Formats: sequence, C-alpha cells, structure tokens
Amino acid sequence: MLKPDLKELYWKETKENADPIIIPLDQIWTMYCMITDGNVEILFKDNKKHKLMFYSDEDSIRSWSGSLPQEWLAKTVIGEYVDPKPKNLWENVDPFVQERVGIYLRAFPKLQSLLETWLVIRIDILEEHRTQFTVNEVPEGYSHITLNNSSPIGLSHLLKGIDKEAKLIVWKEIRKRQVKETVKVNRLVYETMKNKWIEEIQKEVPDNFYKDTKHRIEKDVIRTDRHIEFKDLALYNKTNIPSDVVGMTDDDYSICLRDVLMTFVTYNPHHGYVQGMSDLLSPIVYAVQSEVEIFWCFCSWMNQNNFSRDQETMQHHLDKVTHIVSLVDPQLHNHFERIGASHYFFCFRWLLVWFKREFDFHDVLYLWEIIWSHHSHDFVYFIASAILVNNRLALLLKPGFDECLRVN
Amino acid sequence: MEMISSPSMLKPIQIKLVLLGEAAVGKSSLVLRFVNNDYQENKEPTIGAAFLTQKCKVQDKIIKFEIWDTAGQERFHSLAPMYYRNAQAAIVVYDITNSDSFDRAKSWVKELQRQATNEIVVALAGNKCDLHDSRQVESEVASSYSSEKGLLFLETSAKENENVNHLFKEIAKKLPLESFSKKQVEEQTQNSINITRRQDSSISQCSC
Repeated sequence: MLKPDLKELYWKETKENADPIIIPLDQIWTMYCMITDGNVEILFKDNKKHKLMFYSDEDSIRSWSGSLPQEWLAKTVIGEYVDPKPKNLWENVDPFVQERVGIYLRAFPKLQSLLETWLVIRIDILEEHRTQFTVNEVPEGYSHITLNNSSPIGLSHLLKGIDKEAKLIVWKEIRKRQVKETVKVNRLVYETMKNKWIEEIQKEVPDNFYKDTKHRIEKDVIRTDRHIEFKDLALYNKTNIPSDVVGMTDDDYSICLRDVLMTFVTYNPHHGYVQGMSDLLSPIVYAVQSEVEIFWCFCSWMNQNNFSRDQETMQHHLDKVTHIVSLVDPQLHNHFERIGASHYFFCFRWLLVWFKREFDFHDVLYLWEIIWSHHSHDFVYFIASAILVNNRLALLLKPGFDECLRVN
Repeated sequence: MEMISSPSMLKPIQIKLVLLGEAAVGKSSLVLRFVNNDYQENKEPTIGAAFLTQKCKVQDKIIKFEIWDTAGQERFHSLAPMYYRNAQAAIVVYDITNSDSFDRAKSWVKELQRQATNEIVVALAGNKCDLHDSRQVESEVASSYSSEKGLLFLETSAKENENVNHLFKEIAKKLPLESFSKKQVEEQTQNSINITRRQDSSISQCSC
C-alpha cells in the first residue's frame, strides 16, 4: 500500500487517432497529453529526451495509491527545480487526482500548465466536499470564521487516507526518519526523562521551570480535543512510571498528553512548551497507542520547528504560500500587497498546527497522513494556497488588512 | 437629541478592541460571554487570534465592537502589535487566582501605553472573581494600580456572568465616540467619492 506500483511506460509515438496536446511546463519539461478511448495518457519529456509517462486506464488507477506528484510540482513552482529524477516522479500518484487530471484535460485541453490543472483539481476537491469552506461576510455575533467541515463526507472519504494496517506504520514511520536508536534505548531515554521531571516536581521547592511548564501544560491538555472519544487508554502500552503522584489523576487521556509534553520539554528544554503543541500531540496519542512511541513520534514531529522562538520556520512557511499564490493568482497576491497583508499572516494558524483547528479531528488524521506520505512537506502550502485562491472573490472584496486577517 | 437623521444613529460606530493577557486567564471566555452570553468549561487555547463582533447600545449610539481575541502565550508576543495596531480599546486580562498573570498584565499595560495609539482606552480585568478562595491578587492592589495608570478596572467572572457586559459598556462610555462617528462618516463618504466623484465630504454631519 505504501509502496505503490511505479508505472513508468514509454510514450507510444505511433498512437492512432489522436494528436497529443502539447503543454510546455517550464524550460526543461514539456507535457504531452493524449486522450484515447476515454483514457488519458500523459508523457513528460525533458530537454535531454528523458521521458516519463503515466497512463490512466481503470486498472492502473486502481493499483496506484498514495499521493500527488506534488514534490515535483512544488519545485517547479517555487523555482527549485534543479535535478529531476524522472524515475521517481510518479511514484505516488493519487488515483483520485489522476482521474481528475483526466477529466480536466478532456475538458480543458488548452490548459496552460499542469500546475494550473493541479490547482484547479485541488480547489475543486475542496469545493465539492466541503460545506463551509467560504469566507462569508462576517455575520453578527459570534462570527469567528473557521473553515469547519461539518459535512459528514469529509476529507477522509475523498483523500482516501491509508488503511488501518498501514496507518500504524506511517505514524511510526515519521519518527524513524529521525530516531535511529533501538526500541530499548528509546524506552530508557523516555523513562529517564520522565523520572527527571517527576522528581523535580516532587521536591519541596520545585524548580520554577518545571513548575511553570507543568502549570501551563495542565491548563492546556484539559482543553485539547475534549470532544473526541479516545480509545480506552487502559489498553495503551504505558510505562511503569506512575505520574499520578504529581496530580491530575482524573483523566487518562489528559495525563498521557501531560506526561508526554512534560517529558518532551525535559528532553528539549530549549524548545519549552508552546501552545499548539498539545494540538499536534493529541492525534498521535490517538493513533499510536504506546507511551514511548508516542513520545518519539512527537519528537520527530517537532523537528519541523514551527515553534522556534524567532519564528523563522513560520516565516518560511508563510513565504512559501506567498510565493505560490503570487504565481498562481497574481491578482489576489497584488491585492494582499496593496492592503498591507503581503505577509499572509492569515495562514498562520493553518500552518502552525497543520490545519488542526480548521478540519474535523478525523479529517486531520487523514490530512496529515497524506502530507506525510509525500516526499516533501510542501503539500501543506498548496492546501493553504488552494484555500486562498478558492476564496479569492471574497478576499478581493475585503478592503483592508484587518478584514483579511479575519479569514483566519 | 435622538435624531433619526443623524448618521451616528444610522450606522453603528465601529470600535476595534483587542484582548491581551497571559494564557488561560479567560480572554476567550470573556468574549464568548459578551458576544454569545455563553460559557464553556475548558475552552480550547486560542492560536493566533480569533475575531468576533458584538453590537451594543450606549446612550444614544450603537456601537459595534470588533474584537480581536489574541493568544496569550509569551512565544506569540511578537504577533500582538498586529492586533493592537489601530485599536481604540484594549482589555488586559489577568486571573485573580494567579499573581504571575497580574505581573504579565502590567507589562501589557506598559507596552500598550508605549506602543499603541495615544487615545487608546485600556481596561484591566481581573477575571475568575468567582474563585474567591484561591485569590492571589487583592482587588485593592489592582484598583490602585489602575488609577495610577489611568485604566478602567473591574473584576469579572465570565463563568458567573459578573461585570462582563458592564466592562464593555464602561469602555464604550470612555471612548470619544463623537469623534469616531465623525471620522467614520467621513471615511465612508470618501470611499464613495472614488466612484461618484462627489466633492462634499461632510454630508449631514449633524452635530447635536
């Protein structure tokens, strides 16, 4: 499932009854597209005559799984397209998207670029399957606009996600990229760190750092995803270190969040605890179900560095979205510039906690899986860009910076 | 006085108000109480900021509060100026059961008085005043600090709905509404000038 079939066929130059549609993508790549018998064949050729093709007949759609060719697209868009490795381009092509590529190419044979197709697809997907994905006029009263997904058909149904068996592998996979130590060592490190803060807290005069951090974390964990029904945490693979000596014993789930966050901060005191971390941890607790594993997954997840003090990473995220929007929708981008919103700050929360507050909990799980199943994390920028472009009319009507900020 | 033709009667006066203060002192809960008359135990922490509006009538005027409810944690401090920029009012919130949050409130007051617009009306709110038993900040202390700094001061409870509406009304009373409404009428008129090229920008400013 995670290793989809790589479909790499060569273009059949002699195909009858059809002229290819030729779409130059950039200085290096050209896309050729041919439609035969309701199927779409797409070939990419670079200027060194490398060829790559995919063929969207029913069977190959079924057998391909995974995700979008977005790394390549992202690189094309953000101008980092240096050394393409054609063999890997279509390693993970989402069947749903392939299908859509077909539909769009049939409908719009003269599309300027694949990127455009791709964005149209993304926007279209979001449009079709979301009910409240709009930036409406701010209603009276409690009018904080969120991108709620109240529809029972959520992203999960459409992005297909990952099956149960594979799910656990993916969630654990995210940490394997970073953490090479053996299971035994992992457990030892975790337990040592956990013991450390528990001992600190139990001191007669606890260190302020631990005391304050614990106070902050406990305030937040009891406010995180309270509406979600978690599996019975008694079945979790927990460590033998009881933390109930330090209070908050009424709720297994909160204790698990609290313990992992406290241990994380003890292990990474330079990070400290930042609001939003509990949002990122809670899906991991839901999916992984082993205290030590949860901890290490979370550590890897935190390597994205969204919470750094100088907010350099967040700036980087916003820059990427800026770049994409400026390319795909210059009019919208210019509008943001004109009203002093060119920092794209309205995407801050989306990117800080990876749409955790914008989508339904279970959709977030799927969304993250999709994002992780890519070679690059840039997909998240495309989602943000697609949301903005999708709401372009509403945004273009906003006369000022404050009004646009409200989109958040 | 109650002139229907007065533009200030027709159009609500928009007031940008920002809430600042340490994490988990109840900023979002105060707003939720004011805007929806609702209270949620364990309201999720705000990330970035939330935007809400509420209208209320003060004397003969309708005021529309445009409220920015910000995230409290220190790490997000650098984002705050974006929200208090151009704000006409601010509520700095602390938790009466947590003296650290009072210290943090003081530093917010200092920052506002240094950085925000000169005319900004700042209110200090000691929230969670229903929790008498765990009180760490005496109201006399906060009150004398407030009069020293020229702040409005109230103790509130979003949970028990104590003083919440009162707080916003007091802020409204302290605002120079007359000048805002004038300014906003001018702005609105100016907006229409772009299209219609009308020259007279002071239509019907009926000063009573």
